[in-house]
Amino acid sequence: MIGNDMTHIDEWISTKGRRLERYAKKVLTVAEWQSWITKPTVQHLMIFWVLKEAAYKAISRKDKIRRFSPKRYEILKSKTVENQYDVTDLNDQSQWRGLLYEHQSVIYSNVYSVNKKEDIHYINELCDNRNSDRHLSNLLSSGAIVSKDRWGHPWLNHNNLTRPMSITHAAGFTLITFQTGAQLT
Amino acid sequence: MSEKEIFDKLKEIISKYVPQEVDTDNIGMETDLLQDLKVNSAHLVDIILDLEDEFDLEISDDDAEKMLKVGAALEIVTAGVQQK
Repeated sequence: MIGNDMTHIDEWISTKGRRLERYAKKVLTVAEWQSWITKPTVQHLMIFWVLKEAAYKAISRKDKIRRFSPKRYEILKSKTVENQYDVTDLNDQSQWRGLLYEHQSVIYSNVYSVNKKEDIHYINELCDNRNSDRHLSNLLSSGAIVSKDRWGHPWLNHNNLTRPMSITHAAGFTLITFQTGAQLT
Repeated sequence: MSEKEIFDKLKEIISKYVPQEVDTDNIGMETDLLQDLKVNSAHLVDIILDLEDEFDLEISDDDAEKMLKVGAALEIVTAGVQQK
């Protein structure tokens, strides 16, 4: 399973900056708070947020329950790999992996399930909103169809295979992420 | 404070975070903040903080988790106001 998310730095500064600590206490676990408070900036909080949102999109696809529960997902920076994060679903202790990217004024992420310690294969593309339809059709194989289930999760259907997919729009950009290959979890 | 007054204030706070193209005239108890009003999920926390400030109360994580519909938010805020 896979999920992505993206957010805009200026928008966060204008809406969260004046009450950042209160905001952080609402969304961070104790362990995350201890990490965040060493560098209590908007950008640092955004990193936790985009990874939590991506985790929600991936994990809610699995359990099909819709709820607002940012503290359910615990995000800890990998000690060994730059821009990689260990994500734990505190409900069942399942382990997920998060990757973080920055481009211009947006921070974006994807989170995917860790399958026997091996990475899944996926495509992660950021494009301008104005070109997103064309960009998506270029990325997909001929005959591939994107559909949404009743919970609003997009899926990619092609050659009788259904693959998890995540699409986020923010700040004039579209982020498209989908699994490839046969290793679908 | 009456439930009507709380509802009006709640609607005013939520409306600040609704995208311009979404109509807020018909907000009711069953209105879903994310699906119907297209509120960005990061703004759910802003709404919770605004409600805490406006009504001088603290909304627990458990209650915050339930506040996806306007009716649930109204119920939680009304209970908080009445307990003061």
